[in-house]
Amino acid sequence: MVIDDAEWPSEWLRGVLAVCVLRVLADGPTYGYAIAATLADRGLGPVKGGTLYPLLKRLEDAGWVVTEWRAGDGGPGRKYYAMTEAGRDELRRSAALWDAFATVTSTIVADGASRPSRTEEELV
Amino acid sequence: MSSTTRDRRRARRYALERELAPHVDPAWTEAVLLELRIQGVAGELIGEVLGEVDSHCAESGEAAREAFGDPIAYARELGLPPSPAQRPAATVRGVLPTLAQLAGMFLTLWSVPGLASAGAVEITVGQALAAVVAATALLLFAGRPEPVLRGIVRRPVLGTLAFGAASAALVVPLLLLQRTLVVLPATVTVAAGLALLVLGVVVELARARRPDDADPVVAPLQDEGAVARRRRVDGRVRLLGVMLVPAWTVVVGLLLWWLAG
Repeated sequence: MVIDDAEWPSEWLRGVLAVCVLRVLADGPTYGYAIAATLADRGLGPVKGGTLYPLLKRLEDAGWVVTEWRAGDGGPGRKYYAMTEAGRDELRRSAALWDAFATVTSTIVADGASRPSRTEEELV
Repeated sequence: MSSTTRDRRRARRYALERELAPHVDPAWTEAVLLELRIQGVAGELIGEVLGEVDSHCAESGEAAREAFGDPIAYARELGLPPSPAQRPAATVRGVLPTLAQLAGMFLTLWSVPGLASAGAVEITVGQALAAVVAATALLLFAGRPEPVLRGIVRRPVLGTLAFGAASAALVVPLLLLQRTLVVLPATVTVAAGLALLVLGVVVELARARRPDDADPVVAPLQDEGAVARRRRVDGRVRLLGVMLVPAWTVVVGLLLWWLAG
């Protein structure tokens, strides 16, 4: 089965975007479009600006990132986001929580794609 | 209207939007800018929001509506804090000198016919009531402008008509309540009117000298020269605004004096 990243359910993406963005920022300060491009490259699919920037603002309000405007070379300036110590702690906490959550759900859903299911026809 | 005239008008209308976000559809930018202004967000923050959208669209090649969606929804989603410079108390304080000037203007102009005939000015109940209602309405609007501003932005024609109707409703008690409240010599009312006018102008001029009140929308990383230039232009516009009411008073006053004489 080919996994097409444009098919991730939006409710799943909404739940996981914050921890993914924090993880990208753990690799070093970067700006909005670069974050979106990285996430898209790694298979999460396109992240709309209308979703990403309000999220980055919430991360900043929570004290997990700080921002800095840097002049672009020839182009418009860019707002760089950098993770704080508190952000690092939050990433560690969320990532660990996500690992546990993913394990639990994977166990519940295990072989659901291949196993034959008992459908409502059997109720009759 | 020829297409070049329309283009020139459109270019002038969106000058600020194009300057702050050249890679974004100016109509989209304008919608975000207006919504954030109505929310009372500081000019600097608005500049940052638009700069970030512009940077993203420039690099991704996407249109703003495609990448960011509805501009008003995006502006709301950001949840930016209102700036203290735009708080109701600050806005109401800002409006008071203009109110004083307007009151002074009306009092002066009403007194001119009486002054010309060396007589007295009769202030009716209707006039006093209309003055109180108008002042209250203006102060309320200055304190909580968002609902009215949103209404006028969303439905400009309907909003203007409603505003006109409300102003007309103000005239009704003015005309109906003709009972005399007080009779004052014209010299007293003219003196009071001119005093209010001068007071209002002086306070506004003093404020215009302090550029920090202006809170213009500036692009992030904008060089000091450009910011200073924008402040100078805004200052000049404000100075012109300050002289409007006194100038109007002088012109109409002279006309009334000439008509009465």
